[in-house]
Amino acid sequence: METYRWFWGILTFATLGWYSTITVYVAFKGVTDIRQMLEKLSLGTFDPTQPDSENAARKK
Amino acid sequence: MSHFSWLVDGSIVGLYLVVTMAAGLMVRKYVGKVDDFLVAGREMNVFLGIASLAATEFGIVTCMYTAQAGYEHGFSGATPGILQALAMLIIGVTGFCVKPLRDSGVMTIPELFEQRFGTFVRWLAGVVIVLGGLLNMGVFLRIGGEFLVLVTGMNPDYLVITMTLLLIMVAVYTIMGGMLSVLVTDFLQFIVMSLGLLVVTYLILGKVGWTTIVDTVEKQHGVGGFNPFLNPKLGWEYVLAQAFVQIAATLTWQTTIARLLSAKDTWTGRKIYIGTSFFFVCRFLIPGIWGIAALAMLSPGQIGTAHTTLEAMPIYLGTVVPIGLMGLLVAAMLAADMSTDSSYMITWAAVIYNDILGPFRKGKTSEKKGILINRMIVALIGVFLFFYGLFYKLEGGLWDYLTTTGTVYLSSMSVLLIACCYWKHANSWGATAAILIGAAFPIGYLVLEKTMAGGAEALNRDYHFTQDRAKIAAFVLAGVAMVVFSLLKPQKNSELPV
Repeated sequence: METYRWFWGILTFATLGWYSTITVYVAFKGVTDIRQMLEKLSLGTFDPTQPDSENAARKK
Repeated sequence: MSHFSWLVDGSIVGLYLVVTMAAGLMVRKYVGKVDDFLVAGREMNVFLGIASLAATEFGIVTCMYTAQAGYEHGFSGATPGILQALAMLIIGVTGFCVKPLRDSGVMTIPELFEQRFGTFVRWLAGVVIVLGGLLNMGVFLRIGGEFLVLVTGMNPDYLVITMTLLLIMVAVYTIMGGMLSVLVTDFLQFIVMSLGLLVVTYLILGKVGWTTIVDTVEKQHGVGGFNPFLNPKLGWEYVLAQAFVQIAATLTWQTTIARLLSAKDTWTGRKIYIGTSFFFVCRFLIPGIWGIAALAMLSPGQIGTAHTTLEAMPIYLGTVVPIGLMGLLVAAMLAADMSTDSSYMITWAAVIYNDILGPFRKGKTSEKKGILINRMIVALIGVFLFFYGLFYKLEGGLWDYLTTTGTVYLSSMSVLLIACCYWKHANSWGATAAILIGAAFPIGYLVLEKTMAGGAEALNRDYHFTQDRAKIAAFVLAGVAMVVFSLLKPQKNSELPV
């Protein structure tokens, strides 16, 4: 039983530590992603029927 | 007695709602094409994808069933979360199925199936995806409303009004801005939701204590509360059924796949999978701890005979979370629920428009008309959610219901996707047989459960037919049907999309 208690204890506190960190990190980096997404959509240069490589070349 | 203060907590919730609605409506001006509406122009990057996927996959309904699992099974209730985290990580790292799927440039999975199996299979796949998906999300609105009523201490008579308001708020920005609004609001909702989940969990751990939580599991559930294989209510059949469901959900669940298909390229989509994988452990374990805390702290008198184990967690939170923090909790849960509902509405609308109605459209539909049709589909899904939530009476565990309805299409779609990507002998006969057989078992179970005297208990007692066995049978027999019928009726092989 002691092994089970340790396993779930470590997993729970790892979960809380990871989740706290990722929340802060994603909160900052996500703002940049939204800004870039809206900029590209307003340019209207993306053609979803073309392969990714074609669209990447257009963006450059 | 709930600690919710309409002045303090109501103001926090009101502020959250105003900011979310404003953000959701502001981005609608960027929607010019059907692609912008359904897959956000495929411009989503990694961190927005992680926030969006995490917010979508955690709703009030998730919080309720994972807390119920914690209350009823202890830590073993978090098993599906661990299985899904492993599935997400392995599939993200290897690119198994998701790489050829995203590389193909399709908007939905059935669109890919058309390339290998023809138009009829695409249409049939669309029908079972929508059938399973709508049955699945049909209970979301009611469960969300019930949570809010219980946690704020509102009069239960206000349940229908709460459901209506929730639906209207979500529908407005989803109809106007489609996937683009969903992504932007998902991001805000991820932050509010995560903040609320973390703060409330730290509060509970501080008040109850880790030792009390572990001791409660040991006392109430014994070793079965820690190990699902040794839990008399779970066992290996449960773990196997969950493994099938979680792998299939990672490969084909419409809201998860929508993030992959909205990503700006294939590697970005895979990074979203890898980055979000561990969140699925949090998704089950954090509310699971809330459920265990409710088990430890609530007396039988506080739950009463009128309430089920599903309601133990919100009743407990209503008594333990103080004024001010209660506003953050309700805002967090609203955020979780709105992001889930909006995402489910838009992604299932995509399948209805693209795969079910698509074959009947003659000629090219203008972008303006396409967006209008999609908006109407989203609105109709909203109406369905409202009435289904109002009239459907849930039998048994919520998580069991969700996985059984999900299996209606998860079983066959995962088999079709794997065969489509990697097996050159797969053909339309095998695909059609797999879809029909995969849907038959879970639908048969749900129908029997509702029509047979004694319901689920009688099915188990008289026929040994359980939800887990229905799921396992659906997955195994869908796979067998694909192989047998493909080999029985060999067709000219089409190219693999790899």
